[in-house]
Amino acid sequence: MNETNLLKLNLGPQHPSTHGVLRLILELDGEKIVSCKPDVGYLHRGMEKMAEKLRYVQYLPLVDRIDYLAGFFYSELLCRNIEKALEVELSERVKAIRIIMLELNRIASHLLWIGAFLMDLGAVSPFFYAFREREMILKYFEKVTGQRMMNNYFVFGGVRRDIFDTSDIEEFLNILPSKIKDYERIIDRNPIFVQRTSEKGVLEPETALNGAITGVNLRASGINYDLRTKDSLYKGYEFKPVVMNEKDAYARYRARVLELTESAEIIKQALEQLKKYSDLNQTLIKPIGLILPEGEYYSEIEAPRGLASCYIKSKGENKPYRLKWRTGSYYSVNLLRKLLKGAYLNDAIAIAGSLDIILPEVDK
Amino acid sequence: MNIIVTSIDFILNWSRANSLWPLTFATSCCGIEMMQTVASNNDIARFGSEVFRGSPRQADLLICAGTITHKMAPALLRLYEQMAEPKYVIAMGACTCGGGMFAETSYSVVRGIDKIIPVDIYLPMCPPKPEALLDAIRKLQNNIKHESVLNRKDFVASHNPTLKECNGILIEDEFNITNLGVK
Amino acid sequence: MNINEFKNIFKDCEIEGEKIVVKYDLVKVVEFIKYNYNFDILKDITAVDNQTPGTELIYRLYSTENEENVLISITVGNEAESVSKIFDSAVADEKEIYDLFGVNFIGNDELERLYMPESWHGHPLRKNYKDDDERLRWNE
Repeated sequence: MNETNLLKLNLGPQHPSTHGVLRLILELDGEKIVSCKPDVGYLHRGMEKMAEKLRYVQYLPLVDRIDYLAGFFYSELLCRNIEKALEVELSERVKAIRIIMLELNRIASHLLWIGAFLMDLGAVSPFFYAFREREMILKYFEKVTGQRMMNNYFVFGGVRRDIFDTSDIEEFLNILPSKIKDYERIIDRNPIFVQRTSEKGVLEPETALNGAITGVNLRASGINYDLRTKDSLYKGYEFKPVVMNEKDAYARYRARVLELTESAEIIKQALEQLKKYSDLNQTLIKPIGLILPEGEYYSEIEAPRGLASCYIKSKGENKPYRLKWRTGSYYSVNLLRKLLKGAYLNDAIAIAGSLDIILPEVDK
Repeated sequence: MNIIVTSIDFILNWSRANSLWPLTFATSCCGIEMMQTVASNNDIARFGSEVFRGSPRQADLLICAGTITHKMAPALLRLYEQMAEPKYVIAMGACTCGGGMFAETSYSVVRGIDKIIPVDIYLPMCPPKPEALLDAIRKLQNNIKHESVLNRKDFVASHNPTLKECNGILIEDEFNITNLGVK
Repeated sequence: MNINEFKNIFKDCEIEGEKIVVKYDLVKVVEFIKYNYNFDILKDITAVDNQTPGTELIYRLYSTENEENVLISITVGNEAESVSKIFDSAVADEKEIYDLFGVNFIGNDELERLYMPESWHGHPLRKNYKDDDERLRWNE
């Protein structure tokens, strides 16, 4: 093909889709994509540099904003690092409360992805269904923590307040299986959806491992790597990681729907733990005058979009010397350079949507 | 003369206020609360915003939801200038009102979008509840109903964004449409 | 992975706590570890700015078969070798480190600024970065 016949198309920073401000510079030959270059940085707020000027307790509310759909996970990472450094153990009831909040957040994040992905492809009804369930979870968060999103609930050593009433969550867990059946009935065998997503965006396991992809995208390509099986917080809980063998966008959609049921099982087991241990004896770390001993600390967790981790280097002061976040969507955007080559233009939206990219995770 | 102008004003203002169509401009966390307002529990279509347009040439309300950084500011300015009169702006969230949580220590956040474009309604919270956004739209509709055809130009002229006074980082020599600052 | 066997082959690397400190030949070490011991994921590359020795780069590798982690650390000045031909995820990591710390990676074809606009002066995450650009006076 002639070099001068390629059309340069800009999928600009503002577009009616929901990943955020992602900009893709595409070169088209007819309708096929020849090369793709992602351009990020439109939401870079400087989270890592801000951490070197603020004390640990002043930095804690800012951490929720790194990924606004999974704010509890990043809060948990910072608290875990500090508890590891000062050698503080969590009580059983605190662990059960933390697991309930984390898994509810995972369900809310996957529900929003289902609504947004299908709205990108043109189907508007599942958007309203998914947000109706998500509203029940957000109302429960407001009752317990005081805010719907970006709740500042985990503190160093425990949680801010105790949970007294769990009838809302039990009602939600009773309704959830019938709602998931509703989604499956209208989406799963819809011929337009099946044609638009099967055998598109095939991700081979070697390419995924080479590109540092983790989370649902890797498990839908056949490799069983789930950090929750080795996490010390989830010790004693029984669940099965969801692994699929077809490697296309349809498999990633099915994997996320099946993960909703697994998270519901974990919450049921955690609610029984709550009934067993009724005393919240937490040893809170005093936040004013907190000094971390000298050294390097690292912890990781399985967030909804992949592996997330936090690295702190401290020189014995009340502010960190260097703090680094590793997020899952950063490498998915890097993978788009290879995955979109040779695809048609209208498949590009389906492929980029099925990888579940959120921009504040990419530009911290 | 005044009777004719006020009757025309009444009809024009009533029809503009009751059918404001917003532009989908969601950068960050406040965008999710804007999406919750569109969903069925709190319905924004009751107040006239039946659809959210994707192109700025077809919209007349810009709800700026999310943090604006130095790299994104030229895009926001270009979007505002592509909209046709009459146009209104709601600054949603603490980051757009005055920098928000990042105002003191960040090196790349614009401290409030009223340094770049004229703003009608400020809505501070982090993030605002859907009921708060509906309250802001009701206030904007009230403002529009008390407007007159003759003094829209004064409002826009009296707002002096501080950017145009000094050579900011946005005004560069080659402002190419395919580049936007990236080679 | 057998640490003693590794130390016999590469004689001038030291073990400091959990990290393997390497002085030169980083690309050979990473290639050896990937193909002989089956470490297939490069989780991330972390850069720390210790002012007088230089910038320290920490590579974190993981193996899905044996389920273990290994850390490799090297201190560089203004230039370093790139591992982008071995692991594809390093392309994005090295762009970020070039943008924020100013380290030039030789061998990476797509090296350019990632987060900051093209006309920004300086590298923000260095310890001697001063936030005093004249053109940004309007943002006070």
